[in-house]
Amino acid sequence: MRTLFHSIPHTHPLYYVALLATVAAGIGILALLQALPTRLRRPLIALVTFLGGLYYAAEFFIPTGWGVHKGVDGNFLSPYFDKVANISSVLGSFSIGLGVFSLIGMHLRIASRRRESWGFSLMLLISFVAMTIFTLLNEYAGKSVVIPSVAGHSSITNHDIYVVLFNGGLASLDSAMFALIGFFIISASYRAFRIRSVEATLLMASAIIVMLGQVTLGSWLTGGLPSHGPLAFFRFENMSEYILVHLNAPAQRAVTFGLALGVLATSLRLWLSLERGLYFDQE
Amino acid sequence: MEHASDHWSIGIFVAVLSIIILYKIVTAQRGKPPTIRRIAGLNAIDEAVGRATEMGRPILMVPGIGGLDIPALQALNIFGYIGRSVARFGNRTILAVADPQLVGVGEEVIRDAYTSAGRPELFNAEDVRFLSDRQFAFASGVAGVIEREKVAASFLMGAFFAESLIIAEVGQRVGAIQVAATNQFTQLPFFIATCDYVLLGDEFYAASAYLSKNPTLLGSIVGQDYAKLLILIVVILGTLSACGVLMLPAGHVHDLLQRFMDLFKS
Repeated sequence: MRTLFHSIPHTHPLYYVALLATVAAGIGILALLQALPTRLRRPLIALVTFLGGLYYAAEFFIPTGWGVHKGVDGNFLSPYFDKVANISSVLGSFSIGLGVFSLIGMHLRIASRRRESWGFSLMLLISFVAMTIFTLLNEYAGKSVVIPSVAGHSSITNHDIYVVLFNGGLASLDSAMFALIGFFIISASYRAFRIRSVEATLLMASAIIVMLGQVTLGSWLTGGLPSHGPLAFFRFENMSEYILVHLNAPAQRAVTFGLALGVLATSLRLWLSLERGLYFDQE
Repeated sequence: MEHASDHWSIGIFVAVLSIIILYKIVTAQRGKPPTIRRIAGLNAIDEAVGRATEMGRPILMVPGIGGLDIPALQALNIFGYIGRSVARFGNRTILAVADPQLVGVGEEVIRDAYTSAGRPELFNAEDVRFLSDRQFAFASGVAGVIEREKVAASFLMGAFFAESLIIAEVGQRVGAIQVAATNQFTQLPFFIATCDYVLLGDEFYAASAYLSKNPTLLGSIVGQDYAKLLILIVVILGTLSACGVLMLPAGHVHDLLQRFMDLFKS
């Protein structure tokens, strides 16, 4: 398939015909799978999941150098790593359409039925169409397509509008949302630091020490203490380091161990379809 | 790419941990299922769902922004159980996702939950919403849903990053009961400060076992505990070896301890 696409130039209509045929075939296969009865679908999914996982497990455990010429990295399965990874990318790309369909469908219904806050839905639809058009133009039609103006002469190109939409709109709105975190941190820390229990008191004390240990005010406050010897520990920067390295880091590592084992166990259950009762029906 | 042969000891260690987990799963399936300790955040689910029904407000579930990965699947697993409880009460579930791949899976999970609770007519596909795959656009979308729908409970489980505080603070503002769980420990402090209950570390992965009492999942949790015990033994032996290497003079014992430490160096 890859050779077929490589042999046809991108500008040739046959390229797009082949592309559409491939997408149609993919949709056909998915529809066929959907039409299968559950008792057939279940072992098929289990088999595909097992084979998919088996490749990665085998590729990891088979020693390097097996089945390959000297000097080549990995084993005989390694050269297919990117191709196998591409399969999941292709499957994932089919679902993008599903997500976009869900999003557009919902907002079209809200806007057309004039439900509550329908203006936001209309705004989303307009932004979606504008962003799609100008991103595609920017990508495929070059950056200097002059946009005709009602007033006559125009020097605005498609790239100018793309930049306004992307940098002026999307990136600025992203930054605004990110900036909101600052305000939310204040309200969340006010609640967390209210001294209501021993735990909250400990949290408050350690937070103050760590914060002061990171700023020059902390160094200035305890600057009179010696930099060596037992009293040096009580300098804010040293107490802060002690909390972060000796108390916080081990706790974080313990959490990481637990999470990693959780991932390992869940992966094993999914790979071997031990958990299939949860996704299809009750065991 | 990493291979087991780059460092056989680590490869073998991973294989041993996997065998322990699989062995405990198989024994739990065949024998008496084990019991696991109480998890406060999960006991609060029925309370949160009941309160939401009394208030006539929906329940929000967010499986993070990480895409179709293990944390998201685990979150959907838990949402399936919560969804069943919500359906029994005859209430609404809103699932907000940041990855289009989760739309189909999420729809199936929530539809199954309503069907298995005997209320398939209450399932509304419009309530499984793909908002955006951009982090802060998704955060503002979820914040909008929380504000407009005035959700009574929100379950935030999965991979969350900087948007965690935005979502949880807005939930706090509308007075929603919030239960959170994440595999990102940098976000845990934000959730602890803003949510009513937080599942810490591997409690997130124990949740589905706790809720379902499914022998496979319970066996897996016990297997994870045995694996943790093995890791703890290695950590203690490693600490003692490091002390020994520092304190003992060069010799056979010193070399043996050094070799043990080298086994687990990445």
